[in-house]
Amino acid sequence: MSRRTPPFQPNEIVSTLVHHEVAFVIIGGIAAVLQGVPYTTFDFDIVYSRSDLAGPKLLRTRFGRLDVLGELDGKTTWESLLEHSVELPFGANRVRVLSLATLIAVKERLGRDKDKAALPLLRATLERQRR
Amino acid sequence: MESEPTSEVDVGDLDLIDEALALTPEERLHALEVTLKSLEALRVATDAPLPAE
Repeated sequence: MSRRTPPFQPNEIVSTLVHHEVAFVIIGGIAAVLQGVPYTTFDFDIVYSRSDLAGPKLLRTRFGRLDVLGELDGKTTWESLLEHSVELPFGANRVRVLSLATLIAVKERLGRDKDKAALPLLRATLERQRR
Repeated sequence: MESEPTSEVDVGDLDLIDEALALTPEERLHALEVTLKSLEALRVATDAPLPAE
C-alpha cells in the first residue's frame, strides 16, 4: 500500500523563511508558479545568502521538501542572482524570485528533458506578461 | 487539439496562464497546493507509486 507524502505547503515555507528574515531568492518551479506559470511541482528550491545558513541542504520540513542551495548551477551566488530576480508581494512582505526570462535561460542552458518540457509554458507566460 | 499556429502551447494552456496571471503570488501557490492535494488523493486512491524525488 502506498504511504501518504507529507503535504506540500509552499505558502508556509515562504512565510517561515520570511519570518526568520532569511535572505533568499526562489528559483525553479516555485519561481515559475509565483510568476503565473500554470506548472505543477513538488520541489521548492532557494539560493540563500551564505552568511545566513550553512548549506547546501535538502531539508525535509513539515511543510514539504526544501532544497537550500548556496549557488545556482554551482557558481551563481545569491548576490549575483539579485540583479536577475524580481520582487513580488507576498502578504505583508515581499519575496525575491528568479525572473522568468532568467529561468528560461537557465533551463535552456541545462537542457535536461524536464527543463525542455517546461520551456513552452514558461515562454508563453513571459509572452503573455509582456502584452 | 486547437492551438495557435505560432505558439508551442495550446489554447487551453493559454487560458490557464491568463487565469494564473490574474491571481496574486500567494493565490498562485495556493492553487498549486490544491492541485497537488487532488493529485495525491488520486495517487492514494489508485495505489500509484510515490513521485520520484
